[in-house]
Amino acid sequence: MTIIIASTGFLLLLLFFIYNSLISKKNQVTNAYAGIDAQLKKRYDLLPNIISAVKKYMEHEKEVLTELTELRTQALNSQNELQSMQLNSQLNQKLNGLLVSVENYPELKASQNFIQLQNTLYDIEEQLAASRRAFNAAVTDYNNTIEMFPSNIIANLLGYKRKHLFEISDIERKNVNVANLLNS
Amino acid sequence: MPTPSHKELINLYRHKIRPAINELEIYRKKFLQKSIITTIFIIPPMFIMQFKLVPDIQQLLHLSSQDPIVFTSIGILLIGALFAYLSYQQLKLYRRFFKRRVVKIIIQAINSNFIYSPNKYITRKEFDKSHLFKHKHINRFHGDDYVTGKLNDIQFHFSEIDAKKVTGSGKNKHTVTIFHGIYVILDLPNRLQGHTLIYPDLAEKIFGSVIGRFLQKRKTVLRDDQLIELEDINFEKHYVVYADDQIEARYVLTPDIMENLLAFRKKYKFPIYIDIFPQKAHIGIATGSIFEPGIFQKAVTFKSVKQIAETFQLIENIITSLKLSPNKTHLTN
Repeated sequence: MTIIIASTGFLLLLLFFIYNSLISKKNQVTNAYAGIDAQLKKRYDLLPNIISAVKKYMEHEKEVLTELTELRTQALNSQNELQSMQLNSQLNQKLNGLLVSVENYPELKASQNFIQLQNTLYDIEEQLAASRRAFNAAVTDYNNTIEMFPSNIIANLLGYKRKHLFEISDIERKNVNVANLLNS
Repeated sequence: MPTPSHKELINLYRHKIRPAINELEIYRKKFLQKSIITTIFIIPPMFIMQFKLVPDIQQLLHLSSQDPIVFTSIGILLIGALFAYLSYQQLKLYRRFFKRRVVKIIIQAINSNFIYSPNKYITRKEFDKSHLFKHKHINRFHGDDYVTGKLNDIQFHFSEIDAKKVTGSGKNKHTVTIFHGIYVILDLPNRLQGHTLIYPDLAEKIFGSVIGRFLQKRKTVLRDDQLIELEDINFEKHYVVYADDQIEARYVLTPDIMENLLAFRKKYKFPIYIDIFPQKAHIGIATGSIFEPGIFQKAVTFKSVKQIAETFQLIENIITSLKLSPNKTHLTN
C-alpha cells in the first residue's frame, strides 16, 4: 500500500514538474517572439523616415521605394508568425539593396540626417539579430522538451507542436557580391 | 597603438632594460646575502638558544633570568630580528627599483601615454560595481601596479588585484583565492540596462555538456540573473554566460565577439572574467602576479618582459573586440 501511495505521489510530482516546465518554455518562446516584434515595430517606424530622406535624391529608385512601402504595410498586417517572418525577410533584402545603391548618390551619402537614420537602422538590425538568436534559443529548448521522453507524452496530450526557427532565406545566405550590387 | 613586435621587444630588452638589470642585480644580491645570513647564521642558533640551551643551562647551573647568558640569547634574538628587518627593507627596495625602472620602461615602450603608478590599485568600491564576484564574500582585498590610459578612444584603467575569502582563525583559518591577476575597467559608451557576465566554464569542462548545464541552471537559483545558452557550441565549452536580459546578452555577445573570446582562451590559457553593464566593462584576467621580479634567479629575463608585453596585448585585444560599434551607443530599450 505504501509503495502504491509513494509511486502515485512520485508520478504526480513528475507530472507537475513536466507540465510547469512545458508551460514555462512555451511562454519563453512567446516572450522571445515579442522581443522580435518590438524591434520590428522600431524598424517599421523608422522606414517612412528613411524613405522620405532618400526620396528626393534617388529619383531612379522610385520602384524600390514603392515596393518597400508596400512590404511594410503587408508586414504590419501579417496574420501569423510564418507570414510575418517571410515578409520581413523580403523587406530586409529590399532595404539592404537600397542601402547599397546609396553608394551611387554621394550627396545623399554625405547627408547628416541620412547618416543618423542609417546608424539607427544598423542598431535596430543588431538588436533584431540578438532578438532572433534569443528566439531561436527559446524555440530549440521548447522543441527539445516536447520531443524528449517523458515530457513528449504530456506535450502530445496538450497538443503542443514543434515551432519554427528563424532561418535566413536562401538569397540572404548567399555571399553578397558587393561589386555586382554596386554595378546594378 | 600596436604592441611591440618580437624584434622591437628584443631591441627594448637589449638597449633599455639590460642596463637597468645590472643595477637591479646589485639589489637582488644584497637581499639574498642578508637573507642567507639571517637564515643560516642567526635564526637556527637563535632558536636553539631560546628554546633548548638557555632553559637547560639555567636549570643546570641554577641561574636566574638576569644572568648574562639570558641577555646573550635576547641579544641574538634582536640581531636576528634586525637582519630580518634589513633583508625585508632590501626586498622592498629591490621591488621598488624593478617597478620604477623595468616595468615603467616596458609600459612606456608599449604606449608613452600610459600612466603607471606602482603602489596604487583599483579600489574595492569600483571592483564591487561589477557582479562578477558578488556571491563570493571577499574579505581580503589588495593590489598594486595601476595603469591608466586610452586605447582606441576607450578610457581604461587596470591594476593587479588579489582578492581572497578568509574564514576561521588560528588553526582553523582557511584562505580561498577568489581572483588573482589583472583587473581592467573600461568606460564603454553604451546604454545597456543590465549586466552580462561571462565566466570560464568549469562545470561543462569537468562534467560534460548535459550535467554541466544542469549544474549551471541549478546555480541560477542562487543568482539574480539567468543562464544564457548561446548557439556557439565551442564558446559554450569554454565560457558560461549569465545575464539580466536574454536579448541584451546576445546584443553584446555577437558571433564576432564570441569568436574573439574563444581565440583568447585558446591562445593565452588564462581564465577570463567579463562583466558588461551600463557605461562600463570589467575584465578580470587571472594571470597571477606578473609585475614581480625574480628573487632566486635573474630578476628580469627576456621571457618575463615578453610576458608583460603579451598581457598588454591581450588587454588591448579584449578592449578592441569588446568595443561596441558607434551604432551601439544608441541602444535604448
